[in-house]
Amino acid sequence: MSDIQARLREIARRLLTEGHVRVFIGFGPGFEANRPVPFFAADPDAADRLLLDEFCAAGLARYVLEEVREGPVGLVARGCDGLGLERLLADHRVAREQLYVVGVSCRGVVDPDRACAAAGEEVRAARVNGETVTLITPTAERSFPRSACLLDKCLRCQDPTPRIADVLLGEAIPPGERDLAHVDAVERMPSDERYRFWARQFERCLRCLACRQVCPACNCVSCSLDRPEWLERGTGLAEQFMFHFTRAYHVAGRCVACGECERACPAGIPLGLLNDKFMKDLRDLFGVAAPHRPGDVEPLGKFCPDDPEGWHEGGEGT
Amino acid sequence: MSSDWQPRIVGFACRWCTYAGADLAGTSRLEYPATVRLVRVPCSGRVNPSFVLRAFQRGADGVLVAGCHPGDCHYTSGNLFTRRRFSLVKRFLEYLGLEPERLRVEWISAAEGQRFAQVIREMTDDLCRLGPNRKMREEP
Amino acid sequence: MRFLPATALPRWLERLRGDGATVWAPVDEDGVVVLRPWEGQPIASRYVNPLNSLKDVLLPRTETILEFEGRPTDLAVREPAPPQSQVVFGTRPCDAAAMELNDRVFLEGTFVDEGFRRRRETTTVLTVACTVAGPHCFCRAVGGSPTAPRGSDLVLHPVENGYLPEAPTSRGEKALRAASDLVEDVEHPDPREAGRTVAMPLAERIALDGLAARLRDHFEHPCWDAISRRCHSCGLCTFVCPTCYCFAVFDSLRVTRGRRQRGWDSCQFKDFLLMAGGHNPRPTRKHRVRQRFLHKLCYFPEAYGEYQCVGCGRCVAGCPVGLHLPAVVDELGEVLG
Repeated sequence: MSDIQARLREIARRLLTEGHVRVFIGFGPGFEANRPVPFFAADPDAADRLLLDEFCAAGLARYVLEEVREGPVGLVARGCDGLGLERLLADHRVAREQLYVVGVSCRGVVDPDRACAAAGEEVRAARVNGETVTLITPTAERSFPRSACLLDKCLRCQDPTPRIADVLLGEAIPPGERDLAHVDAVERMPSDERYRFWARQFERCLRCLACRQVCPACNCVSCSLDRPEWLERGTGLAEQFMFHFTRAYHVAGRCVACGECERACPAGIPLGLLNDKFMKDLRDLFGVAAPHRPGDVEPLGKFCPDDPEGWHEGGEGT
Repeated sequence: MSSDWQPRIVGFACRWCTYAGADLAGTSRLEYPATVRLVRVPCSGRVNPSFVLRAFQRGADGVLVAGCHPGDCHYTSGNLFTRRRFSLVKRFLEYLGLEPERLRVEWISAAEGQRFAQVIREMTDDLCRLGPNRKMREEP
Repeated sequence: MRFLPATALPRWLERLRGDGATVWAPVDEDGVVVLRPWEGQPIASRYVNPLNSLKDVLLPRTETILEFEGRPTDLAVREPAPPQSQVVFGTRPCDAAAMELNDRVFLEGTFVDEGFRRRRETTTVLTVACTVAGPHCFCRAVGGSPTAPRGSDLVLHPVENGYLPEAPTSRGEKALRAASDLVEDVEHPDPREAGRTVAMPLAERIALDGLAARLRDHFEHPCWDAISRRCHSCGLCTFVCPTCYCFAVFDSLRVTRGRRQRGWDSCQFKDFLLMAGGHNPRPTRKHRVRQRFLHKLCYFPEAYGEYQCVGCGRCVAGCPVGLHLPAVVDELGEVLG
């Protein structure tokens, strides 16, 4: 990655020096070495603080919404960031000419907590190579399976390389087909059990709105979830169902599966299971092959004359 | 549950087809249980999925969303959007644990008074079997 | 010294519950440890801090202030039933200390918050002292300790196969009396001492000395622009924080009846201070982030003589973009010297 990091800094420096962009969004050093944070390079020298490693977790697309207000923005984009940008572009929230996208292929981001649990001590560095991840700790260098080290969102990712990039650093990795089998497990529960499962998840919800605030699809100027006529501020179970139903439904057909909502949720609510249920039905009922990749018109903004009636085919456990 | 318990159904009816169909059922003196409260909407496409959830929240035991048959929409395509939308919404509410019988989506034309009465009869039977809805319902 | 065997714990809590109190305990739910009303389910043992702090018990996410019914000209208003007694088991010393900070806000001075006071007075806090610090813990940097009794009615010091209870208050002593036949006498050195040797690497990286005064002098420092830039304006940090206490009051109406409620609000939400007419005194992330940290590190110390942070580490673990108190103190230290 260090070679790519050097090229990234060089490009960012050039863009800032030549005035092509007002700010370059990437990652910079965090308080802890294995937790880099989003970083905004506003002058050419700041570009040298940009870093790119296996711990860069946060999604960057959402920042563009604020940052483009004052001028063109450059940013580094992994596959998930790229899809988020496509979402903002499809929603006409930003214009393509306002963005300079430096694409990189991402093989997965290491979760420092998960990696620490696997390695038994703090992880200083990591290398993601295919199905294994090498974790480097102060005392050892050992390999572990991906599932023991990476963020959940990365384990399900099939979009390692952004589709929109003005320049791509490194090799492109072809996209795959998202596996939505984790939805089946919930569908197979009896309905009362399924209700108890979700009630338990939603009861934990603090309503901090982190899921909405980090989401590139939740880019509305004003949100119905802030309006008491649509969602009361109380946190009784009925309102929690209303909140989670509305959040998921409002991104149905628009969610880019970047997994930021689930990563941000402090209560560990499996929000991806909600988003992916809509994806699965969009795929199965309306033949939208990859609903998370923005197209010309989102699937709920159009119809076919011979669409099936999903409510007949629905029903328990199917 | 007392034996004379009757379910409460909130019905969202399109003003061009289903609402007229319900009128026809009435003027034809068809018998069906008095379990449905109809809310007239301009088109089934007007029915925001939140309406359905709100109805359950505030005490409905069942919800009916009904409009013109595909191809007959007064606004050409409103019900075709409804079809996509409620295909997803119904499955999603079931995914959250709601029983499938509690939400029904139907096409009922202005000529189908019989059909309207039959849907209400069927729904009432189903809901009587299920009993009062407690899911997603707010504390009284 | 008294010793309570770990195996006696459920029996003891069962007795406390039998006395009519709601007992809260940390339970593992789908891999997340949460304080929940306890009804005999397994109590989580391996956790640093539950997702929800004592705040969730004493200043609930939503509570009813009053109920009303009737018509505008003929309205009956009634207060909700007074809170029932509650016992919270398994809270950590940092959370217990946090409640004393909230006491200062809600109970000191001329206005006493009745809702908070009544809950506080009917709640017994049974703290389990820490034997290890999590990677995000920094209580020592803000004057706490893994074994400190502040804010607790009873501190249970974990030792092999059980706990050494220490009761700083009569409420705690009373709770322990329910276990008088389960408690044994043992010889043991002062368990509070163990707190001194718990390794807490994060605490050593935080330097707060004199920060309050420097912050006061640098209200308009440009560093706030840089620090706040990555904030997404969610309320995560404030909602998981045991010392953040802001709330909003709102009504919910149901035709002829309704409730006035209060529930958590967050200074990080963009319309937290939005007023009728559209004026927003804190319109940008910079204003809001600065407010949060100045409140904790400057205004609160000026008003009460201590930082409004207990080092529980929830913001460190939770913030999706690493904008938490230790990081901000660190960044401020770099620019303000």
